[in-house]
Amino acid sequence: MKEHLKKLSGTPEEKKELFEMFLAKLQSGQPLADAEIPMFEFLKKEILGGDDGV
Amino acid sequence: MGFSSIKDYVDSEESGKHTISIFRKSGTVSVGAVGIWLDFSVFGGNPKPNYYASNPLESAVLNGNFGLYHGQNVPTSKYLKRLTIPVAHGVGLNHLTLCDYLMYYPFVDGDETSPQPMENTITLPRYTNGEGVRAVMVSQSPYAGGQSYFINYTNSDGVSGRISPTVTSQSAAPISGSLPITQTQSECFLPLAAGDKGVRSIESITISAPMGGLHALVLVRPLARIAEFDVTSPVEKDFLTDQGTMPEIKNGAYLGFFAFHPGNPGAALALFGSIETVWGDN
Repeated sequence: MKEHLKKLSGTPEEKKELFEMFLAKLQSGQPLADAEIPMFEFLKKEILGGDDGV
Repeated sequence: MGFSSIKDYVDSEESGKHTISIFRKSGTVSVGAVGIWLDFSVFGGNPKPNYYASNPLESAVLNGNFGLYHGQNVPTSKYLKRLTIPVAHGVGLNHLTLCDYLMYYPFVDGDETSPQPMENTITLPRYTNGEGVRAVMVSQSPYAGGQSYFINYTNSDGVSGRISPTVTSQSAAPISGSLPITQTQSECFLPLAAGDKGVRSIESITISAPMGGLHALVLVRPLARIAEFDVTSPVEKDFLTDQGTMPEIKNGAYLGFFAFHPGNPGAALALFGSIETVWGDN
């Protein structure tokens, strides 16, 4: 978890790496853990763009 | 400003200056514990779930269009007219507090015991001096709980370095969307230092020992309360006739409910109902 949080506050490359890890997990059919869902939502907005704050 | 008379109020309704919207939120997990607080904005349904998803420990605001819908922005003042909550879950009764969610700081690390400083890149968008604004901690993931914590904050008089009394996290049903605060606390909001009337911003949080999970610190302005009292009938509150005053809803407000659930539902919780607002010419 701490590693994830570090990347979440890290460089654009670190954020992208974390986002791609979550994507790979989803694409392999695994659900995200509860703690990973808000991180994924944030990264999705940050990397792909989207609405604010939610 | 608002309405100068009952006739003015009735005229506003009759001329279409009011809105009714329906909401339905559902917790995806069995709560199964007695006496916990829940943040229904986090749960799925309509409006869509709020994940408190933004830069870790940086102040951020929510888009009011994605909270309980209360109508368009108005040039005058808008008021809460009525809340109606049918009791859908059939077990246990909620005590609900309607709040305007003003600002939040996401991704507080529940395992970090050194002070975690917040970055105040933006300030309160409404109730800007912080008077009447309260802080609440909402979990963004499951956690173990059972530890204590406090916040350092700037109060509504602009005095920084204020320290809240320490509160203890509950450890039952530590799910996403529950509030890490025990039911022995009188309410879901973090207590303030003596004499303080509100919170303008948060400077840091300190957790006594690892309790797990990720959490968001949220600044809210409580607007209204409504309590379910019977599982066989809806509860309704008309603020003008039942309370004699209608809470104002500011333009851009993100509305949501905090619920205290005293019983043990043992099943996914649903909350549905309607919210009605009205606004005048003044």
